[in-house]
Amino acid sequence: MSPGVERRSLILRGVLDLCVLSLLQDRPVYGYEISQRLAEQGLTMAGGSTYPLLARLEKGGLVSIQMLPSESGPPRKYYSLTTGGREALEEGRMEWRSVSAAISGLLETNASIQAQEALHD
Amino acid sequence: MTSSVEHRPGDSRFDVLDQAERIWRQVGVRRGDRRSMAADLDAEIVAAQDDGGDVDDVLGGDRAATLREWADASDTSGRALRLPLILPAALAGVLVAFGTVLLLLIWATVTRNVELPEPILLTLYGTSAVIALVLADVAVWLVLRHNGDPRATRTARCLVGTLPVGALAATGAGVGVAALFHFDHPEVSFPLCVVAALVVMSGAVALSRYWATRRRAGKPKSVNISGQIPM
Repeated sequence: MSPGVERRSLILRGVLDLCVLSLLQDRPVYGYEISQRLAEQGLTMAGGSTYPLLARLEKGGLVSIQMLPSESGPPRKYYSLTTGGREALEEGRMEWRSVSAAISGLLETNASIQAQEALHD
Repeated sequence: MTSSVEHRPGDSRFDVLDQAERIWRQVGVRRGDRRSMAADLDAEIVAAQDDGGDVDDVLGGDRAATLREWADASDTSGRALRLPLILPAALAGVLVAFGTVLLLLIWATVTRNVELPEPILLTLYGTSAVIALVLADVAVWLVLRHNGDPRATRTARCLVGTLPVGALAATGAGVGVAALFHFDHPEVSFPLCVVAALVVMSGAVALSRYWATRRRAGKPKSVNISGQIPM
């Protein structure tokens, strides 16, 4: 795994619960669909990561479950946000904004210093 | 999400469900939970296949690890009582300890014709009882650990408390049965004493396991949960 991919994976690992909670805020979604929608956003994760995470979210009372019939095959388990899940998402969103702003500020400042030094040279 | 084109043996939906059943049974998931989780897994596999995906899209490359993690995350692993596994192990531990002491006594008194003084005999009996309890505890821990049960240590800890109490109760039960026969008719009373003692000891082991497999009450809700997600 290249350093870039590894870093991206580590960052995603830290906020994957927020990404999943965010996907659930509009409508109930089933497990496989969550993986797909994350992949559509460019957030590709290893197969099999979703289900243990959903089980943890369920255990933590952040998502609720509803069994709905599917057009093919057995009924599917749909996940939706609970009130606790919405609160956790909001808290997480604020934390993310604060952390990402601080990191962006740091990285951009250093980048502009380096650019100025390069100009002087 | 990428689908692997190459199909491995055992890729059919039913093969995967069989594998899940084996793994969840091995890690001590109760039958009802296994059924419910298998229904979820089946629905997810069908959803993936409908969309042109495959089993790997649902469970990843290391299916066994994902299935185990799934059971751990949903707090269903290590919840089965598994009495057919742990009762023989505990009783075997007790039998090995007492059997060894019995053989030692037979060797000393019958073969070598040595008359052991009372304090030595008492020490021997006491020591054998302690060794029996330790061996029973270790045997249960080993057999659970060998089967990948996540509550093996917790069960062994519970046994540390219940086995001595169970041993005392088993002794009481044995004496009680013998008393019913006025300490006579050994051909009937002795086997009944042994059965009573075994039933009481088995009850103590079962009780320990029951305590060890209960859900912890008032567990704090975890929000910071993504740290353990394999990417």
